[in-house]
Amino acid sequence: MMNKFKKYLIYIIFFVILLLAFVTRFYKLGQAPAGLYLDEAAQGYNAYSILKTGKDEFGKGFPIIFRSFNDFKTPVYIYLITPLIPIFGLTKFTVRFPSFLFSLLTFPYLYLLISNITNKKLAKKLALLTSLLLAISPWHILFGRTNFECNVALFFFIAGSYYFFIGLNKPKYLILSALFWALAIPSYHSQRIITPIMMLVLLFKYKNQLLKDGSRKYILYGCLLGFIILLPTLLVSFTPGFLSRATTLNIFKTSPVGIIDTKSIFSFIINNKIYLNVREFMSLYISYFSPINMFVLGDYGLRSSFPALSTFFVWQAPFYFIGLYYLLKDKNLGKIRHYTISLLLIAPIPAAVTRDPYTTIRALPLVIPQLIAISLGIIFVYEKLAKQWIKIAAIILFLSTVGYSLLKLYSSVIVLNEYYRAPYWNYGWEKVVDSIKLHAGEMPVVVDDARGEPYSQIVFFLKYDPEDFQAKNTIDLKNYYTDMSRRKSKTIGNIETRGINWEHDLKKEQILVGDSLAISREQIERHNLTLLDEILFPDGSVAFRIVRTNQEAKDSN
Amino acid sequence: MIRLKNIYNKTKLPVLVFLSIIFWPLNLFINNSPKTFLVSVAPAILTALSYQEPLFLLFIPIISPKLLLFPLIFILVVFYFKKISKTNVFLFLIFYSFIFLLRWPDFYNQSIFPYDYEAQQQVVRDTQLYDSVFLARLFHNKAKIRIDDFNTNLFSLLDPNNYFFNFHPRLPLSPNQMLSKYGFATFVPLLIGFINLNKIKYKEYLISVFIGALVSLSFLKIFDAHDFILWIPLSILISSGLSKIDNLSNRKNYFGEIYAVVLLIELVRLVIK
Repeated sequence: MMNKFKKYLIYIIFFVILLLAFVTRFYKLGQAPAGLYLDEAAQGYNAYSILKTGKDEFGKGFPIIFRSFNDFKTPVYIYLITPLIPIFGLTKFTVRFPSFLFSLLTFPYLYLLISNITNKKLAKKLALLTSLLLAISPWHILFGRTNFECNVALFFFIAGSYYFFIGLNKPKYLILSALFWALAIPSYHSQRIITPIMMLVLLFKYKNQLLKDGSRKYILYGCLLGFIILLPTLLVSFTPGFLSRATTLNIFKTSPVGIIDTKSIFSFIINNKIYLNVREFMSLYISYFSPINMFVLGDYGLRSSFPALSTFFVWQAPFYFIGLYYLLKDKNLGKIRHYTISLLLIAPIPAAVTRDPYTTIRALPLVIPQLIAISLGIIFVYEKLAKQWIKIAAIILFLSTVGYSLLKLYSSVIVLNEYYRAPYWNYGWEKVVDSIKLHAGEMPVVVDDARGEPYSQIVFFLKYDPEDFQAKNTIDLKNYYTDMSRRKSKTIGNIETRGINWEHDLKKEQILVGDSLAISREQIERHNLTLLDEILFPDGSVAFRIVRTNQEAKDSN
Repeated sequence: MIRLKNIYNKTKLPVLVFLSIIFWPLNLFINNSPKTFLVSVAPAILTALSYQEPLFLLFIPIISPKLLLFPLIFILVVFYFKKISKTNVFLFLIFYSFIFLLRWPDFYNQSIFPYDYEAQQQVVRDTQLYDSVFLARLFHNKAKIRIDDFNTNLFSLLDPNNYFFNFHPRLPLSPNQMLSKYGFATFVPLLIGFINLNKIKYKEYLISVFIGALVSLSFLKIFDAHDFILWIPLSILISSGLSKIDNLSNRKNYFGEIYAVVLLIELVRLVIK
């Protein structure tokens, strides 16, 4: 009877955790952040273009990677948005929905993975606690509320890991493991490194079980399935397009940091490129374990973090250190020990070869082993408590802290983020498009692009006809993955995105759109422009101005 | 040849330890005046002497008022570990209280406690953004300014990049000389030393110094150079880690040789810079 009750209690607790994860990710989904970043708009519009024409914005049929801003976006997320558009329409909610959904789907797989590979005494506690911490994790929540592919990739990776461990005893599940891992690789750039390395580490660790008679054929089937899924990716893997992100961001392609300007005879040693690159890599790699980054500063990117909130809560810090110590010392934790330590060491690698310090988007899989360490720390401390009443008080304190953390999430994600980070989420373009529709009619419109790439948001909110866009903004499709040249200016019906030329653009009657730097108050006065609309950020500062040139007034003057 | 090999094997570990720990004091010496160097180094030496006689700690706040809280926290932690009698603690606290009263004004002016106008204005601005007064006050208040400053300092002191890469790739949050404390390869023996902290003979002493230093330095506006007090315990851990690596296996490993080469390059960089 007691066992039955315990079993149901576990399901109830897990359901409550799932509900918490649902609320923290679904509340104001599509509305907070209020803007729509250009990458989000680009992915959404490409999905719309695929739906309508079977081609991307440039006219390439079902691309393996999406050219977009010459950053060659990974395809999986875009293809996931496509079937949602007929249901929800082309909206901010739609483009962020796959992130939310796969963020939520990660929970059951994470729970099952942890409870399967941890020793029985600890399994359920660790699985539930880690799930709870993930439900309130600022790191995971941010990428579960916005259009970032890393979240979807994490889901495939965790699911693949789960089926791998199931497959050690039931080999047919190795096929599912191969399927999910194969889907993880094209889902996000960093998974191109993390998944293969983790696979090799796990294959080596469990080679005896995998090479037994019953398993070999399933490994073969899994490899074949994985190869088929990855074949399109492999076909383009040596093109400049596929390698563009790696090429532009990696530390080995740029001049190494730390060169000392000296004419000393030791210069060739102390300024040696290999030595400096290793040093640079180590500093970037260790930064992913740095407590100040984890608990105070968070990601330096203003779209990859929330104001006044780091990647983890400060209260989790002591448990993190305790849990790490426990993880390294206790050899009786089960298979989870090797898995967690391996993922802890491997997850930061792709992020650490890029020049940006502590980028949480590229190192998202790291959230899992770090939360497992925190959970271990909490369990270890709880089990050290001697008296029953102290344990009850500790549980109440813990739940109060979780409640406080939820309020902190609300404060940072909903209140502060909207006020302080709106410009970085490209807030205002939806209102710009509404204003253009209201004021422009058939009049030509010039949208200044000196400080951005607004075309993706314009076509997104206009739901502009993809065929027309493809026709007017075509590229050399034969060299889609190899030709890295790019034309920034775009034509969208009567709208052109380019820099405003104050000499020429005033000579005809048209609408000009720009930010407060492009179209200042002084320029409105000087050039006799008519201010049609002024769109403000939540903090009251000017986001965009929409003006009409006044050719008649200028001529009469 | 065998004699040379024996000499090499005997001196290898001490040389590696020396190369590892010389960075920080050398860098402090090169980049500061003799007075500043002595003010930074003296508390570390007194801390080392306090292992035999805790009363040496009382001189620390006299030399450096910024470290006013260090002796108090150190003694309390040592008392927790039952490494000092109640009588000695009582005596210590009596002497300490006089020094505390004497040095408190100097400490206070260099701590996180004085009024911060900018931070206060930020709190006022942020509280306007909330519909709920409760939420506004819960997350934006005067206490939070001090707590945030304390946390920032504490986690900066716990940041490995602070010790091995001058905070690189991110900038320090308060003015800092950006001095190398250790060569980056020293991260390995230090980590091993931490993992095996339990096996070190003076672990209670080390933990007391760590907690005392981390907490007392976190109360400062700028802890730069005064964190040298951590040099002694960190050096012990590095030495322990190197010793562990040296005894790791019967098979020959070249870690020591590679480690020495990397450290020498770092030392040359330090001197040339």
